[in-house]
Amino acid sequence: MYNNLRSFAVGFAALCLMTLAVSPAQAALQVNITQSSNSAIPIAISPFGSSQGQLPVDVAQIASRDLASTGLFEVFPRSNMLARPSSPERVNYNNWRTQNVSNLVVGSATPNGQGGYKITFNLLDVAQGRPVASYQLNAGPNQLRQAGHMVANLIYQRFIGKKGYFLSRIAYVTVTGNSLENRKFRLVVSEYDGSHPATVYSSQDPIMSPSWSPDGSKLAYVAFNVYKGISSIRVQDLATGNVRTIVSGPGVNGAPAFSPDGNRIALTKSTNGDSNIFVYNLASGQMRQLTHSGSIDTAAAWSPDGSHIAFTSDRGGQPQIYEMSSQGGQVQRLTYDGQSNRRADFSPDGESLAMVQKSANGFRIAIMDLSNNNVRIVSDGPMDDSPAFAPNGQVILYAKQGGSNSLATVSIDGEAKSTLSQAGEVREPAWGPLGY
Amino acid sequence: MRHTDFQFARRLMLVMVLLATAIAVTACGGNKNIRGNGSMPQAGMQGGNGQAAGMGSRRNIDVRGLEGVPAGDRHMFTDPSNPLSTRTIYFPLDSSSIPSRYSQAIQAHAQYLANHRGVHLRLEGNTDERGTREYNVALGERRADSVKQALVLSGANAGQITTISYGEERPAELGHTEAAYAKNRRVDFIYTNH
Repeated sequence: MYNNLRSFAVGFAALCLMTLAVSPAQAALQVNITQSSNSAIPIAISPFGSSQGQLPVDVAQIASRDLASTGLFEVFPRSNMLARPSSPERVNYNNWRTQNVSNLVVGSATPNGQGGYKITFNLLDVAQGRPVASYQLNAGPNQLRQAGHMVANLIYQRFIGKKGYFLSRIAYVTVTGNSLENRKFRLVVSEYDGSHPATVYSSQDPIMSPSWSPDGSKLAYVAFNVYKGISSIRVQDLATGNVRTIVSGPGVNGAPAFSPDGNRIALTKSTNGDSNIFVYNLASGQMRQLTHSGSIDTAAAWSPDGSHIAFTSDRGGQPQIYEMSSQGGQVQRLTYDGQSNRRADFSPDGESLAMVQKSANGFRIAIMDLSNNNVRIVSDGPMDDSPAFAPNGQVILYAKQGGSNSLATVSIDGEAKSTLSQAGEVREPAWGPLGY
Repeated sequence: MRHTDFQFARRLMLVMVLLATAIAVTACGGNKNIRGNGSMPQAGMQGGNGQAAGMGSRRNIDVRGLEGVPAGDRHMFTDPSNPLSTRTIYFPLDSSSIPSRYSQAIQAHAQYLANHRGVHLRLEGNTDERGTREYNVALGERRADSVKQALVLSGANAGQITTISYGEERPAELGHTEAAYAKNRRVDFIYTNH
């Protein structure tokens, strides 16, 4: 299946470390794989060799964890390895065959003379007893961890046919405190799996609805000021910490969503109790009203090409997903399944829509194929919220609520599942861009 | 737009029903202080961004939400036999219709506002945790606005009243039971001085 011999080099010089203006980190989310794909791909990644003894970062282990976290790979434990080769010539294929390891990755890192490393690795087909792909990448100083994620990205792409998301970041809101009077809300940014979390904004008052700018440099979110009785939409630059408040005041100022070109933000504002969708132009500061209904219109989501906006509206009675041009105008209802549907998110290819569907089984995450309107349920409920597609479209991250209040992932085929949890509540995940 | 007209008509009808009930119901014994004990919202007192609590008075919990009321009038809002003591309105599931049992309270607050044009009231809408968060913010705002419209139709000046919605973000009661949910679907009356 993967037997076409191909060799290629992958440039890595441009791998940049995103800096964050942050408060001290809090505890990282604990990841548990709760269900793996039935057809998980068996793979072993031997520790990477180095001409200078041990590498300061265990690149192979980072890549192994990344692949295992997807539930799509069955990663062979290092402790069971009979040998730990770091180049194809040193591999005894029979050893690996007897242990039913069908795919093996071996690699090594050598200093590149500029404080970083040149990393070479090979994917070996154990049955055939030969390398099937060879990769090379450059890691700058202190970029070995990123290099490990990149190794996983390349292996993932080789097998799954989509770019890996192991260099992407997520944002989410945590709530701690043991009483209503003593709660602390934090907006947190972490790596895709919850590791290396950093607090980018915190408040005694609610924080909601983080939305990534398409380049991953900014977050838009909602902050309340309970003392003043106002809500605000803020756009925060993650590198500098600079904040720009784009709308603020009484009533609803909510549900910000960056346009795919990063120049506009769709948002919700209320007048006389009616919530409507607006688009705010970040360059001009002008705001345009797109819906004018006497109902609730909220939770705008842009189609990936920026041409359409899906949103949640109760104009027909129960909340359902509707769609319109991103210029406004005629509105078309998209959802008819279940009792109601809300909070749409487009897949990155624009071909499907994730949403929260209410039925007799509670609130569960549903995916609708926009070509035929077929809907499938991919979460268990009973109180799931905030579905967010991974930037490669293969996974949905969402919030489980009503008790445990953790984050969870599910592959779009519903087969691979995991939870991301910590003490206190974790909610409202937003998944940033691929990051490379 | 036709739909807007329908919405407005629906609201107007709701308010008219409410007023009719208010006239019909006199001296009903139902003006309990439904704010309850310990389930008071802390709204208006908590310095969201470092502001110290304005009144600093934990010693009298009932002053919460009454900072904007002249000290000499506050007793009216804390006397359980006075309809002004009803400072939270609870809503049925998915509804922003004000239950008729609140007619007297609406009348009393509207009248107080009409007689005290310098007093400012903030209505804080809230929902239970079911449903999606941003939709719930919109639903809470609709609840707050329906109370505002009822007050205005009963004599308050619209300029005296602002609304805010916290959706499901500020429950009065934690917990995932129907009883907790019933306490959380509410609009709180916060008389503010800022």
